[in-house]
Amino acid sequence: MMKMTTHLRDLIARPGALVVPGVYDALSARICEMVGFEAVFHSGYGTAAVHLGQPDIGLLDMTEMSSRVRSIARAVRIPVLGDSDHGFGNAVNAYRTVQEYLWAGAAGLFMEDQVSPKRCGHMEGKQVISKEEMMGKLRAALDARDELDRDFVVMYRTDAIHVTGFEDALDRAKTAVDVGVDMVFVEALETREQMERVVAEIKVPLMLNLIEGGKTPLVPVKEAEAMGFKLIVPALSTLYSAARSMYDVMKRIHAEGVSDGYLDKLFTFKEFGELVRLDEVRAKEEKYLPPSVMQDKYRGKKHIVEK
Amino acid sequence: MEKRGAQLRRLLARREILVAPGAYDGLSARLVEAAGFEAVYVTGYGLSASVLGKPDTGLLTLTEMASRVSAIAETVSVPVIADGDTGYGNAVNTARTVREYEKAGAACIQLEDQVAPKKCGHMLGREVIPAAEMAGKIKAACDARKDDDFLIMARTDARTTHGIDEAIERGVLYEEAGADILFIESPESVEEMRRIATSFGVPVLANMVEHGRTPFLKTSELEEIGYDIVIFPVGPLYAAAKAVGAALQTLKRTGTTSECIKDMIPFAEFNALMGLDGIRDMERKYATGRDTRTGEENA
Repeated sequence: MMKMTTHLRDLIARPGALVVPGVYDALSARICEMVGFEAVFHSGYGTAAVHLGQPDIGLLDMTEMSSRVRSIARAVRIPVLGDSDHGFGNAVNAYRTVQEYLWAGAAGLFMEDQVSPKRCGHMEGKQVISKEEMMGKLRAALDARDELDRDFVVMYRTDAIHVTGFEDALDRAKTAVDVGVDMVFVEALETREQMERVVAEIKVPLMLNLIEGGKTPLVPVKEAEAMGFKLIVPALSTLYSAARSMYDVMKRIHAEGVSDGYLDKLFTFKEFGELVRLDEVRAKEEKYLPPSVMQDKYRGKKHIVEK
Repeated sequence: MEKRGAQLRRLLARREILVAPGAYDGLSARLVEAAGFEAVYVTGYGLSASVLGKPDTGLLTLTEMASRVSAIAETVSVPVIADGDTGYGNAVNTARTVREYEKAGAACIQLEDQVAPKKCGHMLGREVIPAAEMAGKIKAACDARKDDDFLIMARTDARTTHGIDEAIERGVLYEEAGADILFIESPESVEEMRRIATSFGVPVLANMVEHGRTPFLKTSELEEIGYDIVIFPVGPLYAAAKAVGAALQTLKRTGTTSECIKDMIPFAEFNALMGLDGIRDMERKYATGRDTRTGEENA
């Protein structure tokens, strides 16, 4: 079987853009895979929300983030990119972070230049470390990568636009390309002009982060692709749609009790079984359990959840 | 049962010095308790070695530390004083860290004013954050605890780079911010230790590290100086490392461990230390089915 790291490199090498939704757990990742997306991006913002019920302000540690990556990577058969925040410390910590994400099953990650504790790239109050220090962290990340799997994708994210300005962000990104990063993600681009300039001036594939309600204009995929972006990441669409839909249904149940009035908003019992691959469990039972046990358990029924 | 924080406060209120040797896992914690010590200190230095096989340079995460603290607190019935390093971030992170340690069952958390990622207090290359920022972290820690008896210990690493005066000034500031115990790390003379022991209104901790930067004194001497509590964070770790190393050398050299069996804890004694009899009692009490099959009285 092809390694996920190698597979991700192939996807990036393919012409055109790749839409890679942000996910926050195994289930949201499975839904994206089922819909047909070819890769997913683990979101730290989403992880903070579902793991702690807290905002994305640097409360999660590397163990919590990498274990979330692990559970996502186990659930899907497509490459998973990891959000590694600022690498959780200095260059020495960044080295360990790349190892842990790789061992967790990520196919790549991004690492950003924010001061710890970090916050969501579309919030106010961000600070960035010096370019020199960040390049040291990226060198550490790349060395850790080379030691374990050269196909692992290391992406530099800069949060500098809203701290030291667009020109500095561009300068940092160009230096990171010289250092050897595979991809660049300039966070919180504000205008189409900035988008066009990063694509024109940065010589590695670029990621575009699109957050509904964020600082970056929500350009259509075709347009972002035409500009030259490689990974287009609707980072929070899974989280916000899940939260909205859950809220609406629970509000209704709170007011009216359980009914069939909102069934169109729910997955059915059977559909959900497909989502969590229930039939694969049945197939394994067929393969490994004695026929007499299967007969006792199912009495001729063909599925764990019948049609 | 008396809560751990209240238990530790009672031990600190006595006239004699409280001795808390360092543990880094369930086994070492059990040994500390079995030897008759009344408190256990959870060492980050020991955890870095035990969890990662790495030096104490700020590689461990909050989750890794808190999960070990939890395992140790579950293992022993004496109060656990836990190394909380820098609080794993700013004041906001520190608040979360205090909650996690409290939930893990610690009686006290130790928080230091180093820049993250931190280093062992007897290594060089340490930096400290501004004193006012640390005071904010101590305030956040005090506000975050749910049990008022849970203790917040403030440690300053300022002595090595900024001198003893600065270290004591910081201690005063941290006491004002609400610290219940003060830990002035790595003083370099008995005279400095006397100053430390008499400068504060809250209990003061001495850190005895073998081959460290501080004069290595007996507990009775530290008590005479005026310290209220002393930790020997790495003694048990170094003893274990040397003993295990020696046994392995014997195995490598002679092809058996026969020569060093005399240095090992016997099977029955080890089982007793782990509380096997308690498990046997539970099997009987809850009819797990084991004892009805064998009829053996001892496991």
